[in-house]
Amino acid sequence: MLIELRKVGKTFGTVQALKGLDAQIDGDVIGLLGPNGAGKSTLLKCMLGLLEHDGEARVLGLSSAAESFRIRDRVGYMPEMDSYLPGMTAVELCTYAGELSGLPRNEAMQRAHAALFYAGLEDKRYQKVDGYSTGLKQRAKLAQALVHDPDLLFLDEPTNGLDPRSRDEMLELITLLPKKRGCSIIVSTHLLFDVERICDQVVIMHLGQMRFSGSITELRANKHLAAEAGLDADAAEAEAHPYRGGEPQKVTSREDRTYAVEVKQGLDQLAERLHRAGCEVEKLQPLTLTAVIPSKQTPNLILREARAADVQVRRLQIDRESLESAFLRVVEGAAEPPPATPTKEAPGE
Amino acid sequence: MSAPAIATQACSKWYGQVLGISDLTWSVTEGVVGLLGPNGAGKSTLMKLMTGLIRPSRGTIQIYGEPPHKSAGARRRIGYCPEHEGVYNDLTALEFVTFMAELSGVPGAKSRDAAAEAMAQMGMTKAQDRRLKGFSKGMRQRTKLASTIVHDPDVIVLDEPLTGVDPLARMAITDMIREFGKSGRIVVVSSHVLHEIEALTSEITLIHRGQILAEGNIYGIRSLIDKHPHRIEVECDRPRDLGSRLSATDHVQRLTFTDDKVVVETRDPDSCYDLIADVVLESDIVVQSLHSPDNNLSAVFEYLTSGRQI
Amino acid sequence: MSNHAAKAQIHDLGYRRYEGERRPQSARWRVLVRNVLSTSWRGWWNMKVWVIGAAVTITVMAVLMYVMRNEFWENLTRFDAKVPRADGMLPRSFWFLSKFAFILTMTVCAQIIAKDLKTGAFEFYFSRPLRPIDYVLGKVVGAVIVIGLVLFVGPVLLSLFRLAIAKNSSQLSSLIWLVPKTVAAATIATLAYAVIPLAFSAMSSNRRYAIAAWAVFHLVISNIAVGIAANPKLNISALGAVNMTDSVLTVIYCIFDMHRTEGYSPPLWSAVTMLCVYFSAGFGIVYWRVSKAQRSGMGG
Repeated sequence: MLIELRKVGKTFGTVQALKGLDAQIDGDVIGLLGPNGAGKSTLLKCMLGLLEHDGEARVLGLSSAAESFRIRDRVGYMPEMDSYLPGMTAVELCTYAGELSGLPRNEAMQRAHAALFYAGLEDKRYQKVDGYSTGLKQRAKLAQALVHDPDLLFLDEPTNGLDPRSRDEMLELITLLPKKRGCSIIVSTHLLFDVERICDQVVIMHLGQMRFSGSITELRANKHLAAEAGLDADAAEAEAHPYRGGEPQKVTSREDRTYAVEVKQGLDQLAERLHRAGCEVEKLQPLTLTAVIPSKQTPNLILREARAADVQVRRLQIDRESLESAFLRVVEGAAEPPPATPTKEAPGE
Repeated sequence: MSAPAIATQACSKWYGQVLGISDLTWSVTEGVVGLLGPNGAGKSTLMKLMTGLIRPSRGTIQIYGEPPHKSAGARRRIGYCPEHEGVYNDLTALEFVTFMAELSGVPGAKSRDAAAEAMAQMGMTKAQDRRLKGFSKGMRQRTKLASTIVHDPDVIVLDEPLTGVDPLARMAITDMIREFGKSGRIVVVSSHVLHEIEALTSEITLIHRGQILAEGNIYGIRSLIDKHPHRIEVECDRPRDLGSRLSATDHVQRLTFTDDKVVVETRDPDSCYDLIADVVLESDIVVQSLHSPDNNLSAVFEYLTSGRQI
Repeated sequence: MSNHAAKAQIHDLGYRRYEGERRPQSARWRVLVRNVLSTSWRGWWNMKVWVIGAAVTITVMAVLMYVMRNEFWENLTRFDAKVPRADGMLPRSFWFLSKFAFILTMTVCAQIIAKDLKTGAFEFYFSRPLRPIDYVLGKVVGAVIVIGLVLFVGPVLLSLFRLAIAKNSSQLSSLIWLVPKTVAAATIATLAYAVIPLAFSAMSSNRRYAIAAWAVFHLVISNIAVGIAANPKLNISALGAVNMTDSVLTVIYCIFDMHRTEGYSPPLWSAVTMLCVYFSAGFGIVYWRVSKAQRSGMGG
């Protein structure tokens, strides 16, 4: 288990930064989300043993109160702000970082080079970090977090200030880390798109409490557990009679049958036809709608109706709640998710 | 015909040896426009030119027909929100916005009301009497934006307005930008996070190496990028069957298979969509999903800036 | 066909896990010391020029010492003529060297911690298994070594030189005390010039402010204190101990059993007390600042 928290609390004067957190967090790439002031950085400091706190926190099986140095031996931290020693080259900086983590000098130097290769700084590693562009500084920060072979990496806003190509490359690097280096990663960021792309687990914090901890799929599934009073009729029937005619009934839940459809033209005709075919239809945009197809049907139904109405379908996908809506739902504690952010307009051809 | 809101004509700016922008001709007449480009491409230079903070080395730039670096009237019609922080920690938010209002030409008597209204628009009414010192990044950003719109400008220019902002404040700011655009005013917004731009607008201007590489509707631009055929991804139960049937036609350039997907590359997406629907229904292949993964801003950006000509 | 395949190999250049040992916690501060030294040694004007200056000074003093050791000179001193004795070169050398040392404090010591505070280096340090004491020890020892190159090595070598040019073994045995005395004096001087500016560098994240504050303290405030103390009408001669240089020199001259002929000497008890206060306060400020930064620096 990567991180175990038991009634972890921290009070600064009168302000309760962390309120009795209980969680077990595990995974490859974990997103740590939450508005500012939610307590993310306080939690991090407690886990690294830099702050005393109530309750018990175990990181990689080690206690934050008693074994904080051993934790820091095995954790790498990539800070959000600039963090380097002026006048040093990238190689010197990473070597120094390795030595501070206890590696003998030669070992530190070799691993520094290896880490810089991984981070894509092969060409520039002998230049001073002061002169680096933002993108290169971010890579250097990643390299210095990797030098000492950590088992857990904490990345704070790793794509801050990067242009689109560098962001992609940084996200690639991060995704490859668990496979290539066998370490787990916690990414703290405000960019929910990034999280959707690279994380398999999320932890959402708000006002010092942990509002959610689990996989992204579970986060979305929560929506329907919260919103629906019970299973819909078909699913209820299937539950009551699991076998009918000798074959097990396939129960597909409602969210697995909701599709987003984008067309080139003729949305109204398609909506009409789908409605007559037994779907629940909701028109969203000039050229987009969502349809819940009856439980025994396949999405081909939509294509059939479209073809019959001479409507060209350009997109057909399961309508997943965006991570943004899910996040807002969890944080604002609303029973109803806010209206989905409008999707892009259809191509103008 | 009235002058366009923003118009540059063969505009260049350099700083000693360093090139800012080069021979740029561009205009904006309405709505929200995304300004994109790699670092160092010239976006900030263009924004500073628009707001009159610097003057062009050559060529002209005009806001509603007047050069902003000379005409205070033109400058009053613009609001600029730069990337870096520049707030006074000891003032309360309302005081700061009032101060900025007065600086922007709002008459003293009305400035406080205008400030309060701007703060309300940004959803900051509850926090407006707190000192800026204790604000989170999202709140600071909203305050800065309030000070940008307080003098009711016709054009606002925003440099990376959503950097470091938490998701809650992000929604507020995004809504405000969309509202602003809908109300008939102009927003020029720059960001590196392409998803953000996509959520705001489908009109973009891409600057590369100091010049305009592409402008207009994202999907229109996409359709012009011939070198990279459109990709359509179909997730179904018999991808290879579907693929083999499609391969018999002219429209399909290339087929790639992954797991339970087939990716169709085509130069004629219009015919291809119809074709796929036909084939699927004829052969009773069950489709799980269908979409085009590179018909978006990310792909456009990537294809255009990867260093080679289209 | 398959023979070729059997002889070929592609190596995975990827990642190797580190299974080796890690240095114990108590040894980590030495890494910091090495870093302080290598950073300070860069360029000419940080350290090299001043160390060379100090070396030149010592050489000149050695030459003078050599010249003054003969009897003619010693006879002059016995007649109470106001000429310095050969041994007197030693405490005097501290006065000259303190000028170089002061410059070193400006170029190196007063900036050491301020620079770290500014560039977010504390996050870099404390996200690693480093205790505040490791950091403080590393920086202090580093500063001590830097200053020591000017204020310790030179005088000690000079004292050994004095022994070397002794005329005969009886003079040698009477002079043997010089060496431990010099070591003691040099230690006090080095510590003063290392720890106190370091405390100033811990007080501000802007290194220019830190340097300025140190300079104002050392040049302006100290001299004002001496000016007040030297005034016989106000009876607070102890105030002169605020001037670090004068306190150090007073103690040094006391160790050597000589009188200082120029400059102001505060009473010995006040000099010793003040120096103790400075050392403990300096160390304390540095430690406190570092502990604070350790806890608050990260995460933002």
